Amino acid sequence: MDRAPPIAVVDFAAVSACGPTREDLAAALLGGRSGLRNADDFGLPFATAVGALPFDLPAPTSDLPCLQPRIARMVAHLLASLETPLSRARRGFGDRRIGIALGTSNAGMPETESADRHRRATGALPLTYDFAAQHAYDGVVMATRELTGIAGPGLVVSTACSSGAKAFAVAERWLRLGVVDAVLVGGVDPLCQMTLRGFHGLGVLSSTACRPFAAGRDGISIGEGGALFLLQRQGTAMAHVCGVGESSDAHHQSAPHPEGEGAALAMQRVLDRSGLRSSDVDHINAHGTATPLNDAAEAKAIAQVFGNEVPVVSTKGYTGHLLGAAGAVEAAIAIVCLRDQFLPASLGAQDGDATLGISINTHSRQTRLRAIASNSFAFGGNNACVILGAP
Amino acid sequence: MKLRVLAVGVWLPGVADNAVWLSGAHMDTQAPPAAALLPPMTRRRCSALTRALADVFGQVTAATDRAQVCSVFASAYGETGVLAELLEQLALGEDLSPIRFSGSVHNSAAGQVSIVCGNRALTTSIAAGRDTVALALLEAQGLLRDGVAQVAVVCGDVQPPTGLSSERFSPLAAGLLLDAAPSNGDELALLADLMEDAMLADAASLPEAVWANPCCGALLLADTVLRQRSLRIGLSPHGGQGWGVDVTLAMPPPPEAA
Repeated sequence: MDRAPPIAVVDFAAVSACGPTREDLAAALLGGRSGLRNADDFGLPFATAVGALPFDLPAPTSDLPCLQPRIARMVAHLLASLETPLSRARRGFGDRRIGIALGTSNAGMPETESADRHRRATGALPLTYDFAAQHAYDGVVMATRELTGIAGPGLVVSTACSSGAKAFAVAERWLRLGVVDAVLVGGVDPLCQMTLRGFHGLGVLSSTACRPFAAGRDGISIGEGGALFLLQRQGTAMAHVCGVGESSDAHHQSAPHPEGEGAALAMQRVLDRSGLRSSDVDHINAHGTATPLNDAAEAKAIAQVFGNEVPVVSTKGYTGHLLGAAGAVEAAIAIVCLRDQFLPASLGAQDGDATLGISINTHSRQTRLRAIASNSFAFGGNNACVILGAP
Repeated sequence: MKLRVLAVGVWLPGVADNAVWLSGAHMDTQAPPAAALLPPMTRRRCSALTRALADVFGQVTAATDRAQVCSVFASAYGETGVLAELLEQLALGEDLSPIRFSGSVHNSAAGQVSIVCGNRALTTSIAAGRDTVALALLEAQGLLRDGVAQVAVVCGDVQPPTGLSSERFSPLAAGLLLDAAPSNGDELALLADLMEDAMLADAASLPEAVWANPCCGALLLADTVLRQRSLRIGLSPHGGQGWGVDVTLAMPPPPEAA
């Protein structure tokens, strides 16, 4: 594929179990504080930890169906931090020249679960439930349009846990095609029963806070939240999107290729696409879900493409696995690390798995960071790697 | 940027392929798509939507290297049949089926196709409500602009669970194989750049239940190519942003000068 010029990240916002703002996330990373907690109040018939938002989201500003779901309220919360740069972009480019590309996997599932329970109990759906505006993936795009006035192309990428990373690739393509001048890009996902019980059914959910890359790692902790970024072809940049590499494992619907071949392909493709050498990348924010299989396969892929000395961190011990939002929130983490020239500890990896053959960073430290690669892998063997660079 | 349409494919209940669609001799059947691309055990485990999308992917890639082609899968509502099954399991307090859960993701079809074809190329799965077909084509255009050789675009939707939505429509899937090579007369048709606020083609001849499918625009596009018409097609026939695309017939290259 042709080489991609870097894209400016003009501004961004993030919300997660670590707090309402990107600075809360930065502080948690700096202080080594996990946002994970026991899921005692989720009514689950098993023990697990979750990365739930530690605050109540504001009520919707109107009765419009698309604004009611938890995912839309997260978007509204994030947009509140981006009002100024978005207003500037709307004035400069016009509403139709700004696109919306969002990643999500669960979308309106919490509302559908609740509506289905209501239907089974009463024989009718709640009057406020609207499948097309609330369950459907597009509901979050409708909500974003409503909240911002943006009128350019809008879509959801939903490739499970790589969705948020792949939304950056969409933005890159649109900017290159010239159909937009700016893109509001990111990923958002709420917690719901379906994913907690589904991952438990697959036997990959940890009963405690996840410990990526630890010798005794025993599975995932699910989280919720999201991040939004305003990307432009040019502009004063907080960071650059150097490129996105995308690939497929062609191996299994819910298990990674054991040698990490598809994952390595995504990492190699982003290097090819951005024109960077592996030695230009100073740190890997790993997918690092803490399942024995994922972390072992990913370690092989990282070693193959980047060698075994680049510091690797999984930040899922802070936020949990945000599924369709993981790639977006981890891109926000990468930008924070580039800004502060700071490498966080891979939380939970103190008992590191020495057999993995990569350098897991277990202590936070200041260091020079020029570019960070962020991995996201998904069901269906869908892989994406985003490289973010310092401005 | 003009795109070449190299192949098209359609599936509806009783319409197994392009030939049946063109003949109008639709079978009165609700049989699921053949999806011959998938091994029998995989096929049995897959949802109706995954089978329909895999079937059309198989049709449009019949003459190309399935291990190399990039793909865009698109559906407004996604795996709603699996959703209904999982909600039933949740309501009964049962453990969720791992196969159903891993098949509930929007990229279920993309994953199954990549596995059976040994395809490690880029694949993506999108949704954009009534603009789903248009945005899938925009993704394909972006990929081809970036230098990939060919893109299979496969769109489809099945009806949402009746307990959750009052929408009623017939399932369908339709798709195209596209490239960005210069026209040489070998292609079926050419697609111009997408446009917004396009005047819609008259699709009154489609049955209402087909017309109401969010991915109806993909069927209109395939139908136009198959019938060798030059038309402006409305890809968002139920609203959305009114995206459209001009389909023109490929012209044979001029004879070489003597």
